Amino acid sequence: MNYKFSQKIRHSLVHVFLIVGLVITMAPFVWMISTSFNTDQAIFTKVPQWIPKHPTIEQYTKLFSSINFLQHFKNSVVIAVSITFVSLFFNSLAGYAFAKYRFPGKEKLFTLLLATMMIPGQVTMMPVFLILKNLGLLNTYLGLIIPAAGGVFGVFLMKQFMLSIPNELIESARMDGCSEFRIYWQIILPLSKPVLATLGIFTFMGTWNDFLWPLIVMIREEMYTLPVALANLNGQHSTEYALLMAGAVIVIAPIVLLFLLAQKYIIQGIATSGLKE
Amino acid sequence: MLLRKFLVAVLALVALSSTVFCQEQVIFWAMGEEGMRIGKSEILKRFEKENPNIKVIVQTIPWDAAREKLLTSVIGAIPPDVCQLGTTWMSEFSAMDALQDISGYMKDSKVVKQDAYFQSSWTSCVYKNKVVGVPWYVDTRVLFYRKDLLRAVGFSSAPKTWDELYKVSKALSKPKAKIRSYAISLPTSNFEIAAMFAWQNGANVLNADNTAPMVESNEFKDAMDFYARFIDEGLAPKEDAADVNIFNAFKTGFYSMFISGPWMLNLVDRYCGDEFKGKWDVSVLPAGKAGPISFVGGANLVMFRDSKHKAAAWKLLEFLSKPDVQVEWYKINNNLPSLKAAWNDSYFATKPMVQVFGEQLKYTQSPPNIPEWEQINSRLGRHIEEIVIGMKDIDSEMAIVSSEIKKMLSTRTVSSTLGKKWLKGALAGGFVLLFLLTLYFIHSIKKGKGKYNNFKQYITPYIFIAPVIIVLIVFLIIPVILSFLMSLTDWNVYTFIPGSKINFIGLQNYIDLLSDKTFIKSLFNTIYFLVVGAPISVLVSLFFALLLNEGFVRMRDFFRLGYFLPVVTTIVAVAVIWRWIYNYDYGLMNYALSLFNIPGKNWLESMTLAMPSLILMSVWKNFGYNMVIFLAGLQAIPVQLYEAARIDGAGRWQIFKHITLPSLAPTTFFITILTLIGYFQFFAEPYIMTKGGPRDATISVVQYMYSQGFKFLQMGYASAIAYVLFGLIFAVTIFQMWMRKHSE
Repeated sequence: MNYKFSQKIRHSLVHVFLIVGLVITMAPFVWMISTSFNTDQAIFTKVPQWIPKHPTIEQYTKLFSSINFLQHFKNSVVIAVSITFVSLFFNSLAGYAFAKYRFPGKEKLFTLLLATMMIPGQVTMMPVFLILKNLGLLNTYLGLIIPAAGGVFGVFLMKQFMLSIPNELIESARMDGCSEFRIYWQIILPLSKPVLATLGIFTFMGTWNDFLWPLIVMIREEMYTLPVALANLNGQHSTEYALLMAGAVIVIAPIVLLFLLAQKYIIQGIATSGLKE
Repeated sequence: MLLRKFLVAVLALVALSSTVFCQEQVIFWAMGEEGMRIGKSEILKRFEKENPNIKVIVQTIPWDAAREKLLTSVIGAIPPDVCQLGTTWMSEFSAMDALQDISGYMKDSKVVKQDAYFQSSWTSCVYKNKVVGVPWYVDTRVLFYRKDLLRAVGFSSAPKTWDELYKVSKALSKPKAKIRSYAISLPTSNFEIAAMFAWQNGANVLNADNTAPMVESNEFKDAMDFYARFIDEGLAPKEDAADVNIFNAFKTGFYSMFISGPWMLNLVDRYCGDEFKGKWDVSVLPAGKAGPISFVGGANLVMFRDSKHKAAAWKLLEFLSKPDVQVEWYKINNNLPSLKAAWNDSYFATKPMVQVFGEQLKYTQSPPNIPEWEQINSRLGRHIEEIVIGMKDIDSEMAIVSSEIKKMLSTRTVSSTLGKKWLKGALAGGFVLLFLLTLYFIHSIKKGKGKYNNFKQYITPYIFIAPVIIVLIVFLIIPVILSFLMSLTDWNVYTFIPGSKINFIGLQNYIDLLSDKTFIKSLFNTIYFLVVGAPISVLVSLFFALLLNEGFVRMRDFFRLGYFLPVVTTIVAVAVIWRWIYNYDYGLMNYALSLFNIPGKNWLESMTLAMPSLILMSVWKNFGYNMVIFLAGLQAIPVQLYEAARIDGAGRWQIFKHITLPSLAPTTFFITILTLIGYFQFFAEPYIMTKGGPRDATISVVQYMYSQGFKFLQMGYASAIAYVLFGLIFAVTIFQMWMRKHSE
């Protein structure tokens, strides 16, 4: 067997594995979409229909007319967008302070922050619920937004990036009589665009996909986010798979679109996080 | 001028909107089918026509999420205005003082009067001389049976006694038949069937005044033995075939008998077709020595003290209590009327099967009306199931149950050592400490004022980090401390009862956890998920990263994108999709197996397969993430290393073993730890797909904590669970640091 031939075999084998992997990865998505465009009765066939015989959008109309998914969609958008912007603002402020200022207690504070990263969210579940109750924030947007407004990971990421901004820029701005906040707003933030984009996308995705907190904080149906609404639908219409798949499509679609648009940032962000450690 | 104009416009708008939108909104929570049907029904449309200034908004709550939703809404003081409340939950919410006393409203009512209702229904609405609800419908269980199949084995009527029931079942069962069938369906997954057998045998779970368990009595054990005999001898199925379609099973004779409620009458007709009509009937349950006793339950309609629309809510309560509306409601959802007058409606005279339910209502018993019942019920159900399917011995198991119930009943009688003040004091102490810290900061800032020529520059960083720090202190640091303090108390559902106390109980919660079977099981499951899931996940990621790292691969970015797609999708959606994939009859998984002529499996209902099913799904969802990190790690390995190895004549495998793997070690570490920590916290998967079942086979630590915390309001106990989880994650992280130190 000559070398060339065995190499050919290897190349095709690798590609076969890759394609099989891709088929397995994609099959659930394709099946979800095809089921969601089907009728309740037609999905009960022994052989899966990859393309519905009589495609229909009735499941989607049901979701948006009688189950009010539009409201849940709005809730998800409001919460994810608010959390993203508020936390970007707060975290970049703090990150900037840690990166470019010298002040008493800085090291201690930063160590304390890093230490809190080890605390899993579930530990604070019960007390935060009670604190939100006492602040009257249960079942409100703010009840989800405020606790998520500051994140240690975000501060850390911001700080790491801002360390690379040259001090001369800041100093010369001070010479020109720029106020401290204006330096941050007009010089630091524009220079931090890449890291803001990465962190923003991550925050948005994390918030959009979050389930446990909205499940606890949002008590009434009109405040449910999409994942909570979908879980509710799953409890209520547990055998209406076509409807559930349509719900899943609505929950997934925005985030997949965002991912496809911003994949460069996301994949880079994740790849580097593993190496920098 | 402009401002004034603007103000006038705003005022005009406000005035206008208040006249247009003066409809009062009444939020009405209903569970399951009831919610779906009442929301779409003409009944509410009629109500809104009669009361044009009221708009009813129905919110449907799935049964298995109803408890936590109700409890959290009551605690958060944002309850619905009207709510359907199961009779077994009445005492709990009454005890919490959450329900509105409606005696005042009843005075002028022509419809809601005590003597208009069945006695058993009315008693569930009375708590400490207050009327806290009106009965909406009653519910009981009867025997559904196949007349033709029973006749075929020589029984011309339904079994009337235990003895007959056993004989019929024996006659019906065909153990040697090719096609498996069972005489009767007796689901073991909840306590309902077991309770009826117990009552029919004169046994009770608790004594007369609900202060002590009675599960160790001979009557109780005999009843369970009788129940177990059906499972043991193959007269009823062992596995709860949740995916077995009951109508199909009834029609094909897979079951000749089953026990169910009034809603089934219409459903059997609908799903089994017209030609099936004469083949089946219903009858009063077979009698044990205490009679043909069945369960009586149902639902009441309640209003909450914290509701802001009581007057409008009362109108709705009254409307739903009219006899003609109740008959209408029966037609829609087959809920038996709680009003005596409604039963006299001509509609029921022509329905002999419904009359059987009326007959059964004379021989009923309801579960104990105490706040602990829900918890006792869920524990009992689990133990009884293990007994009847023959996993556990009845005597020892009942002794365990007995002591568990004793403990649940005793929580209310513990004398107080430390009150709520203690916790409030701790919380206040935390805030005082914060205040002192702030003062210290201000002080040191002032001191530094002299040192720094530019005070502004000195103070700025503090202002910049303040928002993040405040959020972290209020929502992370204080809660972590509070959580630990809570875990040392018996903070439970009674804490929310006005005038109650919280007791400091030291490490008792942690000690209880050690002997809590469900917790041990959840811990085991979580570790199983970790130990099996994480390595598979990491290996699959590595495999695909190595493939993609080959220089000749075409469309690498496209593959990477595809593999990464599941990572960004919402876990809830993924869990819902995979529930469908694992569906026994029509799922993708069993179809894929059938292509290779492998029989389909009951993935999510099987004790052994449920966990691997969840693991498979998680690997599918997460491998892309780790793959990307691996890929970056692979591409960071210097090319010179490979070239040097090749020159030395190393083969492919040797290069992989001696160069690739060691160079990847730090990456692998990072990935493993990340995966472990992520897997520790798995919650949505079992919550959506299996509810932790079958028989706790997939319950996770976080899920158990969630249900303890919000389903049963055992806040102290749940906090202890949280801290154990915290400890485990902490240990893993420390281990990681130690390993890293040593690997360098």
